[in-house]
Amino acid sequence: MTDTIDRLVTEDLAELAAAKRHALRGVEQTMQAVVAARPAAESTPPHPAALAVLALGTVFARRVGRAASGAVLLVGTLTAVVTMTNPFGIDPDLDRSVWIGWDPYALAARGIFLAMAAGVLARWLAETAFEHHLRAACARGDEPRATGARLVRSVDGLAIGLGLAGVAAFAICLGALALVCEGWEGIDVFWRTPDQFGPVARDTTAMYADRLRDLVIALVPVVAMAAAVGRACARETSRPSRLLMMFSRRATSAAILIAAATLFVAFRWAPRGVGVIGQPPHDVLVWASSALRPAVLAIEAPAWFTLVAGLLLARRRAENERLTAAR
Amino acid sequence: VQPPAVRFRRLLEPVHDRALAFARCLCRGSADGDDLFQEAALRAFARLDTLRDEAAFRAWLYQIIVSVHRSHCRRALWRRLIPFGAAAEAAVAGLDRDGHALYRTSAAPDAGDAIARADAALGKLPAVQREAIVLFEIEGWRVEEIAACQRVSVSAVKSRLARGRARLRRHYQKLLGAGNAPTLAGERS
Repeated sequence: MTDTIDRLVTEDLAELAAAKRHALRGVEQTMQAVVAARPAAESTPPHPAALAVLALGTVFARRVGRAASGAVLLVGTLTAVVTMTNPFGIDPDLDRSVWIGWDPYALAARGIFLAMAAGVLARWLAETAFEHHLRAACARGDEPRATGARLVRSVDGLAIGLGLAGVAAFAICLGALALVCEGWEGIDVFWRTPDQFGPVARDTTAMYADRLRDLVIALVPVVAMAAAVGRACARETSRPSRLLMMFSRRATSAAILIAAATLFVAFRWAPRGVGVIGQPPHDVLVWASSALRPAVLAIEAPAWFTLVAGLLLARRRAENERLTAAR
Repeated sequence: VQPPAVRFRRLLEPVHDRALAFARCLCRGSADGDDLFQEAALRAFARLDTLRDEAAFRAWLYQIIVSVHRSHCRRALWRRLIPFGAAAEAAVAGLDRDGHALYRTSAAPDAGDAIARADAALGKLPAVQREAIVLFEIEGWRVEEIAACQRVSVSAVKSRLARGRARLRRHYQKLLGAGNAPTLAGERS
């Protein structure tokens, strides 16, 4: 039966192919339509050097923008982590209204806005700097394409390293903050001691103990790995750089799946009952220290890192292809 | 140096008919296939400067046809989801510009007409599988060539071919099960 169907499919496809080849229009007709549809401006090919310099300038500005956005996010993340340790010893019961807007969502919105603003500003400055360098190169009699290519290479590692470190660290920090604070609680929830949450908190072991340990353990390798990836990208001919270029799209897809599955597990099986502090006025919801929390963070951190790395490296590959085509 | 139009014509001429037939096979109606090929030819002409190896023109042109075909499929999906303007009524009615049924309609083709049957069966396939099947079964390309054209691995092409073939088989089995049993060429006489 299967053989009969297979033969039938093959025969039908052959008949279809013969039918589709019937009454084809000629190449003359295709050429007429192609030439007629082409705008007059396109008929003059642009100068290859101009195209190359244009592509180099755009890529340079984009990379500087990404590096600046990453740097802002990295600094913001480090500031948030330092703030969580309450370096100035502020009493959290002093005035809670001061800390409105310090919840993870507000911090995320603020971080994204600042990163975008830094990116736009840096791109504008980079375009100006690129033009300035090219003018100087032309005045010296240097080849502008070589100068442009050198400028692009000089920011390649920074764009990947800072971009990766900033975005991954920011996402991991906010994720951890949202999981520990249950979303709407401010950053000052980290400043409280177990005694301030009443007897329930004292009964649960290590509810707030080591609350920053997991986050710091996750962030340090992420930043270190980002620096390593950035360094590898800066040296184009190195073996790690070539390996990174083979970084598959599947790794990014797998990272998305792992991150989503881990978050699902975290929200589904988090020991919320232990974390609820029902002692007025501290009726806050927190996720207690448990084996699950570091486990979630340990899986989420590499997943986010892989995801961001995949996106940034894909962007870099597309830019490199564009530069090659323009050259 | 040859003017671009002359160069393009010189390169296009030997592959024109097969490429046009390929574009027609990807679409249900011949007019849609011609439009697809025309758009691909226009795009190829505009990007002719980027073609380094003239010997690879055929593969390059087919890549562009495949790319344009994917854009058309995406556009068709959006058009069906959010119908606008002139195409809206036809899309809602499930017809293309020639009045043929669009892909994925439930109407069964006439079992006696091999061409309509194969056309409808191909229309049931996702775009990537349809491209792979047409290139392999009709155009006679090797798996490695298809992989280069679709920019995927050889194993991915093999998987697409196997899945596409299985879908075609299922579609034909449905036809046979519906009592419209088609016959083989050998059995027709």
